[in-house]
Amino acid sequence: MKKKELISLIGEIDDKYIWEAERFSKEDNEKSQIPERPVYRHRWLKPLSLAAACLVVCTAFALLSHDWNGQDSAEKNQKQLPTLEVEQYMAKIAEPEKKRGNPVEERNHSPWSEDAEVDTLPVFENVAYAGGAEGDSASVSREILDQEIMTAAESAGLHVDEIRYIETGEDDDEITDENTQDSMGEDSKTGDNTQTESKASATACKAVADTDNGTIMTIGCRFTKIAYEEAQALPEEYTVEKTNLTDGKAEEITEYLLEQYGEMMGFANPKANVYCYYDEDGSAVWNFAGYDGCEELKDQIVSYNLKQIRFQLDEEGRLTDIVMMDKLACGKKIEEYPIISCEEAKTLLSKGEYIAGSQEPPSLENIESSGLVYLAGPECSLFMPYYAFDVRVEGEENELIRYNTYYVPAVREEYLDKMPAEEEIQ
Amino acid sequence: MDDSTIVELYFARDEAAIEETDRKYGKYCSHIAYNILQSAEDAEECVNDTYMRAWNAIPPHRPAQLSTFLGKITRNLSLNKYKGNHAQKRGNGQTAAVLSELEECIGADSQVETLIDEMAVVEVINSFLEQQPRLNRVVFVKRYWYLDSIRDISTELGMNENRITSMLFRMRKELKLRLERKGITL
Repeated sequence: MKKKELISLIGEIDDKYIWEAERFSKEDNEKSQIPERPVYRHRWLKPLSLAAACLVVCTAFALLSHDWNGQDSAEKNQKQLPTLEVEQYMAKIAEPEKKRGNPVEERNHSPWSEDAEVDTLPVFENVAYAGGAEGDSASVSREILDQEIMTAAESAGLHVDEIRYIETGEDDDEITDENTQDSMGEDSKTGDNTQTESKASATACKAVADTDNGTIMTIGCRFTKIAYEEAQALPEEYTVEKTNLTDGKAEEITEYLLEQYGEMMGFANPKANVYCYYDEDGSAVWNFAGYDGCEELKDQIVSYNLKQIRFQLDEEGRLTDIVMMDKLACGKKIEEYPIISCEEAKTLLSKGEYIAGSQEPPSLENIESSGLVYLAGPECSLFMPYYAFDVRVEGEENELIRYNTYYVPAVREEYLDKMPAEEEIQ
Repeated sequence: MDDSTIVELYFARDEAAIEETDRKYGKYCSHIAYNILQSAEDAEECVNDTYMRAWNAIPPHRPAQLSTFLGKITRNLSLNKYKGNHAQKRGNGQTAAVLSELEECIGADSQVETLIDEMAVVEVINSFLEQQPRLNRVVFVKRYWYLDSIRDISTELGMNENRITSMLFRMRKELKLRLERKGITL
């Protein structure tokens, strides 16, 4: 009786596949992605076509460049920007809970400051927007979710055993056998091969993978979380109990973690974003995170807000979770839009043109800190910049302040189809 | 020298057949052997054994495609040598990684018992490959026939490594499903 392993049996495949693989090259791969060129029947047609194309381009350029109405060209260009249709302003739904803590800590670590010279910022369309106020992400192909999970697993040194898919609107508890895919093959409980085949091209808004040491969860709006079941110890020089942590050491640890895991985010210049703040209970919480420290300040602001990796450590300084947010992956850039200054935003704040605050306009004197941020939750149809103002609420407790954060659209009003005050509070 | 002429040298029992084979396919066979064995010395041994096997097989066998004929011999010899070298442990390296990946398609200790089973499995694999897009098929063969590393495949084809990993993951799942659907017990 002859026994063979699968790897040996693969050796017996048809020669034509072996031959094909031997010959296939990068050029073949690139060629397969290039659309066919038009065929010219007569040799003189090609240069004539090129000349005609040049003439069309030149004529179009001349027509577009001509100042028909005598307007200033810069102003004319600005007015050509498409109006941003804000489907709904995020969080203008209810009175938000008042927060405790020290918002200055977080704002101080942003690359933006009030004296920064930023005249325009990009606005993105959220291609994963599902259209609901509840924050569900749009469904994407399972292949995309698989790819996210496998990338994360490979970087984190985890082996994926099973992947479960969740549709928009479902809870994780509602995962049925029909939505389960064993990494070794389809769940045989379905017993229906046709159904299984159609699942291969199906979509889902979330996938959760069970691995040999924890879980990996990814959402269609490009949010991925690796949760280790057994916390990962760091090298001795980077292992510090939280109670003994200092700013300098926290920065060192974060830089080490960025070096180890930052490649998942594709940062060209990983930059640590480390600070300590206080939560609702007054407990110190460390933020170990990183973003892309790009050359341009504008790009840094975008990366800081839309593409970050964050690490969670336990009390003994061991790594328990890695959270990756990459909104740029599901954000389609619309255009660069002119933005107002921070002072102009404060004026709008006093006039009630804000979201996520109380209905009563705040006193500008009580602004503790300000920031230039992007609101990019799954409930946002657009990723737009806002000025964030942390306003102190009267009645301080102990060393921590209570505050509300108010958001004023940073994009100039003339490019928005409506402002926050025009939207009814639900 | 073209393949048919080389084959004629074998038929004529002219030892120049070995020289010409080595000149044309020496690197090819060495690449396959080294991918598996990660040892130049062992790879050379397997390549030399390949030539001996080819000499003994031709005639009467007249391979339609000399490169794949030789490649298959080299691959089998190399895998056997690898198993001999790593009888007790899985070890590290490319071959170990590939074996580990393929375990997802079958049980860890599963083995095919009879020749009929072997043929059935090969038929399923061929059918599976036939229905894959060309790029996917090439990646699969490069990984599991040639045992090329993910990195080498990435460089050679100009593809992102993560995309290759993801592609192979889905294909392994699909292959396992097809094997199970055919009632093949592995």
